[in-house]
Amino acid sequence: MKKILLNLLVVEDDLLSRLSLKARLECYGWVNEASSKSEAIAALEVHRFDLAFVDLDLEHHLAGLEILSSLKALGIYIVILSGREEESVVEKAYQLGANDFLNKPFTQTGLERVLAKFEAHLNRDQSLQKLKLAFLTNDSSMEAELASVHQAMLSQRPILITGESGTGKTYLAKFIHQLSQPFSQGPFVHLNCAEFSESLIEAELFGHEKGAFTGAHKKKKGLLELAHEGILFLDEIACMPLAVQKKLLKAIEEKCFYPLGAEVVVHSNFRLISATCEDLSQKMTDGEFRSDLFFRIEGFNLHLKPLRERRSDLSLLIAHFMKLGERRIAFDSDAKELLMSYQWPGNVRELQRVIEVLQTKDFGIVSALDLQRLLQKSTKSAKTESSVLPNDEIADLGLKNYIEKMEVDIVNNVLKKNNNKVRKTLTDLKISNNSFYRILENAKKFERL
Amino acid sequence: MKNISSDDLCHDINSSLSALLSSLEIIKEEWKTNPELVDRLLPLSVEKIHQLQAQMQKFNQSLK
Repeated sequence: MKKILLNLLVVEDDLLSRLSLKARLECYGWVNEASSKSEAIAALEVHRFDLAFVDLDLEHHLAGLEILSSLKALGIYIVILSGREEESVVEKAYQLGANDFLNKPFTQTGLERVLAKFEAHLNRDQSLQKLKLAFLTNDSSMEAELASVHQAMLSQRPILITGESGTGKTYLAKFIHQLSQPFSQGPFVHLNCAEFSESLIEAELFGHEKGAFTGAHKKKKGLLELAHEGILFLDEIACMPLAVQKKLLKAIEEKCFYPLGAEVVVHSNFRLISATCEDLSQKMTDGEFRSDLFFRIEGFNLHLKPLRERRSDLSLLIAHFMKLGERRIAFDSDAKELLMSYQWPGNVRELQRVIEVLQTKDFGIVSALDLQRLLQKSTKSAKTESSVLPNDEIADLGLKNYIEKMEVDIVNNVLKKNNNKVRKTLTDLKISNNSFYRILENAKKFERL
Repeated sequence: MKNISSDDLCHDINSSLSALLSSLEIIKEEWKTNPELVDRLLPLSVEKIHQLQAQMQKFNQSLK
């Protein structure tokens, strides 16, 4: 926690505990001690406090609970200290307004976690405002999602971001890194799992010793190690090969791992943020994603809505992207209507790209036709309803063969666009390995026809 | 001897451990820079160890 001067209250009947806690807290500000409920109430009448540490068992069993409402009424952040292990006590404390609960015996790390959470609480409004500005939203469900982003930032648990391609998952992950304590001081390490083959992804993640495999000419640190004290962002985690998933699970659980070919274990303390545009439940059902890994990566689930479901934000986003370019342009009324009614399959990324491209064109006023041409280019692989009308080819091939041929064409086009990277193609098309190879088999059939 | 529930005993042991751990941590860090504080903490820590010892005896008896 940054050193800001706070007014702190320690309500604790045990002298040794009180003195020790006071000594630990003095670097954060002025510390007032109270050994009983009445002393605490008396202190509240004289001083203003930011944060109170309250032991639950004061002069009698759970007497600390009796002052929580007074502290809450004064807007004081309450941290309960207790050696009680009963769940009912924890529940009661939170019901009465406690903000945090520190189990005795607690460590210096535990105390620091509480103080970091308090600092984030102080910055809550500020960071929520930053999130709203960063995501340019007035959509109520997006705002609720951003409030949970704030909760996620306060915690050290893993985060899973879901949402279609182009909704801003990477942007959100970077934002969380900037604002989450203590990981903002550490690196942001990004790996797109769709861009690597099974053997490469393992070497990238875990690192390797010199000579660990053919081509390993020198020792290389893995991304897990590089992410120490920072954030490891695993984008498109659904594309992670099963064999690597098992090894990753172990590394997440134990915070240590063996680089390829190494005999010495490497320790790394990182916060994991994962992202996917795929349905991980379906992947688990299909046996393509480990359920134990899923439960490890989904501490906080954040979902970014597609742009077509937050149309009220379109005007804000358009105005924002228009300001980013040096050249100002305007839309005629039909173009404006098209902008608002279009489905935006590529989401915010597509919107940004369309505006950037329009700003480089000669025209000052964009017509619906100009825009339509650009949007068609943008989604040329996605057939619109009107283009899927019966034609001669269907009559020649039959519907089943026609559909299979369309699949072959689409896969070939995307494969070509991705420089023959199979994994990236699978991700782009949201298809499984089996489907991919089935379509390739069909391709041979059409070559023969 | 006062009859004490197992929840209360767990609480007392946890509290004693907490007090001791905190004070020993501070003693370790501050015995050179803040000997006055350490002078106050040491006898209280010794007293707390005795308390913990008594609590652990009760705990052991409760297991029998």
